[in-house]
Amino acid sequence: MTLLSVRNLSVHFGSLENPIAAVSNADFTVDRGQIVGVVGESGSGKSTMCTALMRTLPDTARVSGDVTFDGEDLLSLSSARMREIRGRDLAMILQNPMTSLDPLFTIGDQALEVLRLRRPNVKSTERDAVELLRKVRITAPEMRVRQYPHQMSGGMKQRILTAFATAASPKLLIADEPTTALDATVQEEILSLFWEIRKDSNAAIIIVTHDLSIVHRLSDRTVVMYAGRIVESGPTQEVFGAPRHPYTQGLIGSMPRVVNGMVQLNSIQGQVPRLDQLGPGCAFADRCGFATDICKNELPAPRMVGADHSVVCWHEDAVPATSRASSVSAAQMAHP
Amino acid sequence: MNVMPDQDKPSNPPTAPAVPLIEARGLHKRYRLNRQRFFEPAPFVHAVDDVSFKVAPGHTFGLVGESGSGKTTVAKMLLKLEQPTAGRLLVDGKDIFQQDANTERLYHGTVQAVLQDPYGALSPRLKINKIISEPRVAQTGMSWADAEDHAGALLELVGLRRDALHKYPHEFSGGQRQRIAIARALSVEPRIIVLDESVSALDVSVRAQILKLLEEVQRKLNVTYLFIGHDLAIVRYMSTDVGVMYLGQLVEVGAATQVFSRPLHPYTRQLLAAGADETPIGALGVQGDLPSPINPPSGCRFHTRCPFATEICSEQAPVLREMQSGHLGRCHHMERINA
Repeated sequence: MTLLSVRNLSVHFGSLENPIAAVSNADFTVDRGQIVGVVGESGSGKSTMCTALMRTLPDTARVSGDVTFDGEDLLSLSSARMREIRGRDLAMILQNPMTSLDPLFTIGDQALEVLRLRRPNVKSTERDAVELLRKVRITAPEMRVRQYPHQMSGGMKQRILTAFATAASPKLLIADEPTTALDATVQEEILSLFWEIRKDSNAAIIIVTHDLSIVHRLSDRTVVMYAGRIVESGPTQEVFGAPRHPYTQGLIGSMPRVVNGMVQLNSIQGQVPRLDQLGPGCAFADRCGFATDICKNELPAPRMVGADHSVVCWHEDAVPATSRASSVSAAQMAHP
Repeated sequence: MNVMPDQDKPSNPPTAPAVPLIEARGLHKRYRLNRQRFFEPAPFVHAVDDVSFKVAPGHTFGLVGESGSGKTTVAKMLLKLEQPTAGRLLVDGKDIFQQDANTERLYHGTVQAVLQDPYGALSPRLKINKIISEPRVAQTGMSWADAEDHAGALLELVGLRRDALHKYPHEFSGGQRQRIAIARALSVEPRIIVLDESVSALDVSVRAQILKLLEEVQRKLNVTYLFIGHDLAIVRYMSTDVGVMYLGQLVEVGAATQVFSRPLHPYTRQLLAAGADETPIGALGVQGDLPSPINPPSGCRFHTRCPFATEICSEQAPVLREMQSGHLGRCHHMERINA
């Protein structure tokens, strides 16, 4: 069942004469309890797109399109109503756990503030704050609630922020690069925390990251962005198993992987174009081995290449389907 | 202009050659912290604790481990930015901390570094020409005009155009800046380059390009890399030999193929499982945070997070011992685990 439906979402910055499209005509849906991974390189618009959903972009951003969340049109809601939804039904976790907590207040104070806002009619006590931390498996929560953020490690802070964000059992949790600043084993803990949140409360999760392997392992659907546009979206197993867009293929090839005991790595030539220097055609054309004249001059439209799998490319039928067969089976194991 | 002689990497290099280019012998580095209580002595952090390894010329030694494991402190000592508290660090068989002033000056032309942040690494006020040429002028006394010619050739080597010489750093993207930083490191014809998280800040597609470039540079110039990273797939791709660090200690050393395909130490296994496509999410369970290096756990430092730990692990510190030729691990139970 569809929880979030995004149609033609665009975000423009800059002057009206020379607008810069940080996000162009994004289309995607998120079902209840679904984990959707949004991948792309810096400047691809993935964070801007999610911030637009939260309606927390600066006033200089011009947002257009239709966003339906749980039956309500998010973009036209009053700011009072939006404030009710934000943090309760729709929560967000940011990349840097070091700056998302207030250094001047104890963890307990900040937890109580969250609880007060979420449950205005209930008097919350320190015990509730302790429970909140216990849910994300902070060790010795009784001690931690009296400590300050600087006394915690990065992984602990990210777990605390996740606890705050999920305190009101949101229907949709947006996590923007939640594990980028964390070490490998700590990252695993945060991922399994997301896994549990989904299992326990059937919350949908949008996870924004540049780390393909996280998306591969965690998400049900994958959305690939390039230069402000969604270039491919579909079930994770299909997108990774048989990517159809040349950029998706290049991105997957750019991750070192072991084939027959040898580590392989391919790279995409060139670099991500500047958003103010995009031509009329496909933004990837300059770096693409399959590009022809039409790619440089005209924007391709999304084409369905499978149930629920769309690709925005003129030549998707000419692009040979590569496969990562071995890892697809592993992904299936990981998705119960 | 041919910058440096074109030498091929030895096709089948021995893992423990007779004369290593870099050799660490029982390196220790302690930092004194602020006193916590007035009447107690100030505590120490044992950032690097008994680290020994050898690197053959033209090889890449990869150092992996989580933040706070001491990887960067090892790199800093090789760059002579830190003095070891104990132990020796030899380059070409000579202790780098027993140098006279002139040898030390020349040493800095032997070892160069490319660091993580390509934005902080280049002075915004200098043109690229000055950035690349300055170390060479300082090291060799070459004229600025000749150095410029040399810098241009280096830019081409790292895949940029010669006209970049007269631009400023802000005109380049992160990946291009990292190429410039590599060109600068190469300008003094170093034999060793320390790559401390050099590709961590780059986007996926750019990162692959820079890794390819580093590989090409090594093949052409036969430089030796100390490659520090937290992404195991990348370290595996780059390294001939690998050391795994945990709380200041090397817990496993060996040829990259051995360490990654048959890890000896439980920590290496855990690191390999974390982030692997095959690992189901949640399979590793909650490990808790890294113990503090100020009060490291007794006995084996890993015993608090180790699934194989027994009584002996909390009582007796294991030593680094050889299991197979050139493949060492620091664990009491390697035979049992790998049986």
